[in-house]
Amino acid sequence: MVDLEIAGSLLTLRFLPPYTDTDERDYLAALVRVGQHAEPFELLTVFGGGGKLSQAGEREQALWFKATRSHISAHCRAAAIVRPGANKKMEETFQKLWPMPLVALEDETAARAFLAAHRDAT
Amino acid sequence: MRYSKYLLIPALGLVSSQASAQQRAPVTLDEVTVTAARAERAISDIPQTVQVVPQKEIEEQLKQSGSASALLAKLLPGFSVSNQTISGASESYRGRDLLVLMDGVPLSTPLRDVSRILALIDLNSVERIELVAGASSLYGAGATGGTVNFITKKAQEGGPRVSVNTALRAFTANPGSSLAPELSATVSGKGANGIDYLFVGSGRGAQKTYDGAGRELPSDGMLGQGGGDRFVSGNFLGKIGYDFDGGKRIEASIAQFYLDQTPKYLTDYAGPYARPDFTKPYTGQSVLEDTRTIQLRYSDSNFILGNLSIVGFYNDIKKRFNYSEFSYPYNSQVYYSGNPLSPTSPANQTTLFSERGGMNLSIDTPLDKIWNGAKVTWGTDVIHDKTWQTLTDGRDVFTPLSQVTTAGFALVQVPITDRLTARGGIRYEHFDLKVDNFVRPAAYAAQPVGGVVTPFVLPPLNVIGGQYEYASPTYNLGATFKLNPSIDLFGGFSQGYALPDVGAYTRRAGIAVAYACPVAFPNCLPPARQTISYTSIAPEPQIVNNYELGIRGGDGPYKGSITGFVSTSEKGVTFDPVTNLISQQKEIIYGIEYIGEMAITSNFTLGTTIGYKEGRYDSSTVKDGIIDSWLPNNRIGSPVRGLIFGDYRFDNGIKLRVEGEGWSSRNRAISLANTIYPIEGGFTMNAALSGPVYGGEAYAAVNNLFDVNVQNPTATSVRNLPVYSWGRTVTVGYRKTF
Repeated sequence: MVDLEIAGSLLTLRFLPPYTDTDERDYLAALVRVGQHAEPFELLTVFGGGGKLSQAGEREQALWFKATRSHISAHCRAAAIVRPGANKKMEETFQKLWPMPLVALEDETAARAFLAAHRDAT
Repeated sequence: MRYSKYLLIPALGLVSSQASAQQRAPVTLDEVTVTAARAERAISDIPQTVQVVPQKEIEEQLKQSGSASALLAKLLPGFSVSNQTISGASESYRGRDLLVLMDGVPLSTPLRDVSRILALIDLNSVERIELVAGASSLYGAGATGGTVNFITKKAQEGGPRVSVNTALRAFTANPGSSLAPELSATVSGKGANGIDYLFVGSGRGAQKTYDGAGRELPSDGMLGQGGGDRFVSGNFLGKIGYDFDGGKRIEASIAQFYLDQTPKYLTDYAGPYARPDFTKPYTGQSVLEDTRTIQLRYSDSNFILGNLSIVGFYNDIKKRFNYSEFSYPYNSQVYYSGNPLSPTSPANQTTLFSERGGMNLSIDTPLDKIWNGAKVTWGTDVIHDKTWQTLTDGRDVFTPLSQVTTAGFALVQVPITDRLTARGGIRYEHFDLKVDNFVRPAAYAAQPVGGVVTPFVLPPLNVIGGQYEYASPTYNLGATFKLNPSIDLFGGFSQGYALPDVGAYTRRAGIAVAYACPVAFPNCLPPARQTISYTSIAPEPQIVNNYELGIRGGDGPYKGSITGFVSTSEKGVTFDPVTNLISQQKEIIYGIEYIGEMAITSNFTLGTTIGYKEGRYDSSTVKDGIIDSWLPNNRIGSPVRGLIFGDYRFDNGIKLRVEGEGWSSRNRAISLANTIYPIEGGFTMNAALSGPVYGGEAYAAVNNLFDVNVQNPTATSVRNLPVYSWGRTVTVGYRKTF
């Protein structure tokens, strides 16, 4: 199941069980919408760890990073990646890509708290 | 710039067959589990209590203690208070046995349950702990109270990464004599060739331990079980895996557990509480654990019938226990030296050996063509188990046993509506048990006769074995209902099937006055009473029924669950430490558990776990099926226990955790004669402080902050003899990943 929820300035992208045949298409479409979001926002991604992309889908995802990097860097105030096995190294990897405050965590509540702090600060 | 390493979602290679149910309900991450049904399932689909302890929580608890039972006791309200030793005696879940798994493979010795597993597990190697409450047979016998699965760490992508955790612990009562160092190192990585590896090596040492009054604690406060002092231990975990294209993986692993305790003094059990007898140096061999488990596992997420997992395993187990001497009334039965003036045999110390090998096959098959979203998990288990236990002079203490277990199971999950999911299944288990002949060694015992403690001898007894078969189906049925996207109702019925501790029964063969002789005539028995058949003393398998109803979920900063349960059995197993006898009878255990956590602010979290359990049984000698008394303390040590904690994370990265642990007293009549062994309640505080230092994390922790002197309810309940808890301990440590 892929779901992009926009609640105020918080964009929540979920990729969770139950997984379906349309997940990849839905996920890539959701990324496009995130990359086009014109207002300042916080990004929360929640991944269950079971959904996977085809090689073509992975390539499209990589191209999305490249195409939207400057736009997201300018509009996204903070990002939190929530997934099983999230760790410091993953966090450091994405911090090299995106300049905004970013955490990679296993706990959604902690991630929301992190994003809320950055929403309140601006 | 290369973007591949930044991917949020990696490629699969081949698209796997997945269920196409369109459920839009949000699912939180920690709702994924693998334990409950031998296949990955969301917690929200499981009609039983499921608790998951993630790695960050394990690391938080490691700052305070390296003990897995201490962790379970704090975070799982159904678990008993940790007995703080290397033994698991009287540690229970909901008053019954907890089946302990490592990566889905049981570490238990079901033919002779000697209660020493949890203390051996190295939490440094554990990524996640999953507990499923309630009776279950899905992993074989032994889970009458619940199943806990310690899932070991996985290798991370990339080159070698090294993590080091080191700690130094001490009792403030006497820091110099109680210093206890710990060191653990982890190396892992995954190359571009698909091969991954993980190695974890850990070592621990302990010296003396002290209670809250500053008194040294005994090395064997629970009679033969082993204490928490004067040991060295070492653990090693090695895993190598290879990911094939198309979702296939093969992995080999080995886990080694080693522990060596060298007591200095025997224990005085005759006083008002268990304490070292400084006048009697310990003369036995060391208390030893030398156990390893080897696993080879293959999985294929694109198998033609669904998701395939097959595991082969071999456990080689050696456990040596304490030497102890005759001491009425708590150690009123020992193996006989032949000399009534010094009745304890120098060989009165046992070692358990067990070799277990087996294969577990699980297949998770989608049933979308029959019912959209439905799945069936099915498979089979075959286990060969050989178990024996000897005195240090080599004599067997029970009938050497070997058993072949074969089982088949199927568990169906069906989404009835978007909100309602039903699950039901059956498992059929067959035990083929071979009981060897053996001669029960001569024993020396004493009991009151006419108000006078009278010693007697139990001469050697021939125990005749044979071949026996036991088999039964067990069932489970339950459902979950989503009240709203974040709150579930769940409820169900599940059964566990177990053959009770056969070795313990044959070890006690002929422990009755009918087989006793006066000390002056130790070979008085006529030939007719020198032999006993296993058939006449054999235990009967027990089926435990578990009923559960609960609600769980979270909304915003709050998450929690509350569950009520009842478990019953017609052939419950109870050990009476006073008579050293085991009995089976009707019993019922019931309780309620609550877990709650609330993020007060983005920096501050408050939480609590609290559990209540009680149990009653048929204590009459005629076993008339009438539940007439409360279960003994070694089943229910403390009816109410709980933890309250607060976590505060400062903006500079420093974290403070403060905990309060409490448990209630118990004063219940455990027999028709109104026998009561009172246990005191208690409350202690813990605190841990950590912060970033030189790219790692430095930490300091204090357990039993106010050094209160409290009884340890679980240790006390083993022999109904007061055993005190640990006094104040201080830990300093440092953790870093390179």
